[in-house]
Amino acid sequence: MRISTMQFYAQARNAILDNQSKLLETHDQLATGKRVTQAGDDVVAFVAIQRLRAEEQSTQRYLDNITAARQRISSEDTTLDQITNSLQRVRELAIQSESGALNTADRAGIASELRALRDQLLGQLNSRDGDGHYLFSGYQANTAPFARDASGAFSFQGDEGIAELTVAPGVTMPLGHDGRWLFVDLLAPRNVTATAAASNTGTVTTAQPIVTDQAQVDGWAGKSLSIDFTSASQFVITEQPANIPVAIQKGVPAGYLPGTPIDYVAGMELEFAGTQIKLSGAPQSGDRLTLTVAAAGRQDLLTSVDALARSITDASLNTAQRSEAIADAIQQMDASRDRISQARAQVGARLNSLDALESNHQQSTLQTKEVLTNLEDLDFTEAISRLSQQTAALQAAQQSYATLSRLSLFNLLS
Amino acid sequence: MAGDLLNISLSGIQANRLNLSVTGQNISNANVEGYSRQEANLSTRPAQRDGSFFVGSGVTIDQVRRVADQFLTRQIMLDSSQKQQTQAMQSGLDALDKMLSSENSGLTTDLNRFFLSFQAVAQSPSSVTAREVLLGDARGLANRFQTLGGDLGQRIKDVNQQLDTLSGQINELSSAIARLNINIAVLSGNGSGAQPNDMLDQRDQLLRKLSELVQINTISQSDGSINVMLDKGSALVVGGQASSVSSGPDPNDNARSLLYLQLGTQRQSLSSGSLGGQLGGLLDYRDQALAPTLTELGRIGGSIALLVNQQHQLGVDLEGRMGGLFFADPNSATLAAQRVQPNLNNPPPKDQVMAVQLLDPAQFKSSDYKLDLIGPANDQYTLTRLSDNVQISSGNFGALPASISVDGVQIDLTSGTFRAGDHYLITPFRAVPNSMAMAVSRPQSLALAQPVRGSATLTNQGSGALTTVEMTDRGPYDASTLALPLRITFTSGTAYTVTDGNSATVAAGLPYPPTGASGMIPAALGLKVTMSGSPVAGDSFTVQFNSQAVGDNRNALALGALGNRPLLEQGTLALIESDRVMTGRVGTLAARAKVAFDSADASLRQSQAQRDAMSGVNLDEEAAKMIEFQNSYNASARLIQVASELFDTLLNSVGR
Repeated sequence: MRISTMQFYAQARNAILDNQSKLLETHDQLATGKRVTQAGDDVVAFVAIQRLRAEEQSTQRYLDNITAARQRISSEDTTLDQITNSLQRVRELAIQSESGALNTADRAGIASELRALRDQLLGQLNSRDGDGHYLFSGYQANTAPFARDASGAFSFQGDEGIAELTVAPGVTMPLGHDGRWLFVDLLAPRNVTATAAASNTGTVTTAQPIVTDQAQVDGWAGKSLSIDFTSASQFVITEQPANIPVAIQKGVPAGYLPGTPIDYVAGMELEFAGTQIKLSGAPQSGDRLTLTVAAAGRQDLLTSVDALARSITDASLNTAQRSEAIADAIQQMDASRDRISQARAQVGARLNSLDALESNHQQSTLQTKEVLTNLEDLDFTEAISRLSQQTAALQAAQQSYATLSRLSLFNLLS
Repeated sequence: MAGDLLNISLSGIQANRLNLSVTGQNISNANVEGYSRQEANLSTRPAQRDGSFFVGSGVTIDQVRRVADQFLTRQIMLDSSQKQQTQAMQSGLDALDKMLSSENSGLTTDLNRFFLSFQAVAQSPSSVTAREVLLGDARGLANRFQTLGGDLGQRIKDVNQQLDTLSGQINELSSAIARLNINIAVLSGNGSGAQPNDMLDQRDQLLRKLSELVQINTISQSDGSINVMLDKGSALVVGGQASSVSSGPDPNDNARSLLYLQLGTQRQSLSSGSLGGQLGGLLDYRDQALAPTLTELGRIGGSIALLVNQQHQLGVDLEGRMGGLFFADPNSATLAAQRVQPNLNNPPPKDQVMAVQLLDPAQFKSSDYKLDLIGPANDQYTLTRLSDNVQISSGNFGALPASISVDGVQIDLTSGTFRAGDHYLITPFRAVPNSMAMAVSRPQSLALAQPVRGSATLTNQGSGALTTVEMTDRGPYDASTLALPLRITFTSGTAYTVTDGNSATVAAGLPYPPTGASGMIPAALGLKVTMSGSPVAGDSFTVQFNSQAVGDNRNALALGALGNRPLLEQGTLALIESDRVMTGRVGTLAARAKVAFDSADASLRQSQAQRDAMSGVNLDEEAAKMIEFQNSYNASARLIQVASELFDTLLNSVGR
């Protein structure tokens, strides 16, 4: 084929330019360490890279949220632990105050320690986290959850909201517990009330029934017990509406058979179904007294402690009434402790799942990085060998240009 | 006889002298772009009868012609057009691709950061510092949209300006070709058959330059002139006459220029799709890459603004007020009115009041639309989606004010004179990127909490508990149809009554568990309340305004989750994925343009090589010819000497 001189030079020049531009491309890749720097380099890889980068960023965000959630949950845990300790002390004092050997001064001492504990608990219930937000006031993070009014009554000011953080795609982690559920929504021990039937003709009556065994009382809640006078001197006790004779624990001769009439003595004390009554007055045949269990009320922790302190020193209470009050208080402390234990079990589970999620995220970050490296990073070995290959090609092109350009027939003509 | 010999040798000397001149011309023009090597065509002079035989009478010069092949010249013109077209596309797309792909100038970084920022502020929703960070990230996103939108708009303007420059160049070239046509016709038309080789080369060269700018078709005429056609048949040069081209605004769309050909007093617009050359490449780049990318960017921005605003307005801020707009309203009266352009050729009066509202991001299509009033009734229309050229709506819009809804976009025709034959261009998304701005500016005004919360009455005896208490529509609250607090009171384990803050009964005897999608509360109140557990008669629950709720981050979580929810393309595409689709599309175009450019470049090189192989000068060849012609010249000269000696010999012998 015929070659024109211009074409000859142009092709040699193009060979050098082409080699140079390839060399520059390789050089660029080596300088940035990236194989794919813009979508046009490899569209599929680039879109995958962008997705993975976004994933990496959100995983980083989740890890950050996990750290924040862990801090918040741990500070709740610590606070709940302190509250449990305070409750334990309240409980010990309550048991101690049951002892008959205490004199008034001893009781006053216990009561004053209880009041100090009550104030300590108020502080603990109004704990704040590192950002100065109340732990147990729900969404109203700047409102103290518990307040005492002028009369000394406690009230809950917060709400039942629980803030959450996103810790994984579609997974939110509650950051705490509802303060009302934890400390307010506690079933108060139920009391038994006695009412005389309107149709009674006698004057028989009972003192305020005292709960001696709360579990038994809770067992017949929703039903009623009837004390029916079959004559002015005898009565039977049955559970209504099924009309089942009730076993009597105290106040009747040994060997008493449920259902048999009991002889009435004014001022007699009877104990049955976890309840103690004291009958007085003059009954007539057909008179009836009905015992019922009050509906379950709620009493907050602080009020319970406060009530305990008051009842210990309340001189108007007799022994039985005081021990009922103390038993009520102990039961409240136990209920509260159970609630807190339940919450702490959840806290533990939450912390565990945070740990699990965290290591998951760390694992997936590593994997993402690896995939990213495969997709976008340069294979340096390959690139360097390509670089030396291209350098060699460029040198060859330059050399052949230098050699060939000297060839001209004119040089040989003289 | 000696006279014959002298004549013969003289013709030899002349022929070889001419050959040497041609060789010299070839050698000196060896490096001139577009020069075709020339060669002299010699032929033997007719022999003369000398008695009974013929004696040759020397050599004669027929013509000096250039070695050129019209097919190759055309191939080069075609390939040059192709190369320039693909190069314009490729270099433009490469820059666009770089801009969108970069972590610093693309959308991705700011888009991800914006949605993640809600997750960060959720950690401490009451912290003004964290809120400031969120505001900063949001501003960054809005600015990114503006920067990208501005940049794309500027690139479109640049192309429009380049059209102007290029049409000037085309005019210069075409009139130069027309002048050459005249000269060539005069010179080659004098009957001698001689070709004005250098002018032909010059014209070929001009045609090639012209074909780099715009694809042309040439038709050779018998008088040696060449007619040049553009755009499938519009004549640019006919003989010695050149028409001029100019750029001017598209009557449909003021954002782009078109190329017009002046034919006498008439202006004919040249269709952008078939121009070819650098000009065609630039138009393709503008119409297939820049404009759709700007529209796509606008669709992403508009969707984000609408969805974020909607969710933000369902929240309550740090000061207990309902959330306002987060981003500037994409449907403000000014913006909505800017989305319609009446065709410049619509007859007056131009009193039409129209607006375009962006309503449903899930339905949005990344496209402009054309509204044509086709008649015969003045309100009879067709609406065409320009991205795929599908007529998606037609009919009569009826009495004003009227509206046409399509693809999540509503076109309002409010008032004015609408006549059959009018055309309107609807560009719902084009201006969105430039108008992205923050509406909320104070960190306290970020509505990160939910406006409602629920509470169970402390004395409830059952195990029922509220699980979700959310506002899903603030209309009823704003209209005071919803009077908080609502109270849900159970009349039995399976039925309940809802009363409102005015103690009015909203609904009674509703079944529990509820059957509706909105849960416990009638849907008309815009709330979603769900419950679990078994309530008993007498239990009650309250839904109240979420006052003082500085620790509530529910709306922040909802806003942050928007990014990952498939809210675009009929629920198949998430907001944070949308920019990847855009970048990927540009990347694909860029990769394709690079392949096309490489192949066009290779084709041009190849046809150039073929042309050079035939028409280019080879110096070695010319050196060899030079020796050859020099020797022949010497030989002819020697022949004269011999003739003269013969003559002398004859004279001497006679004179003795």
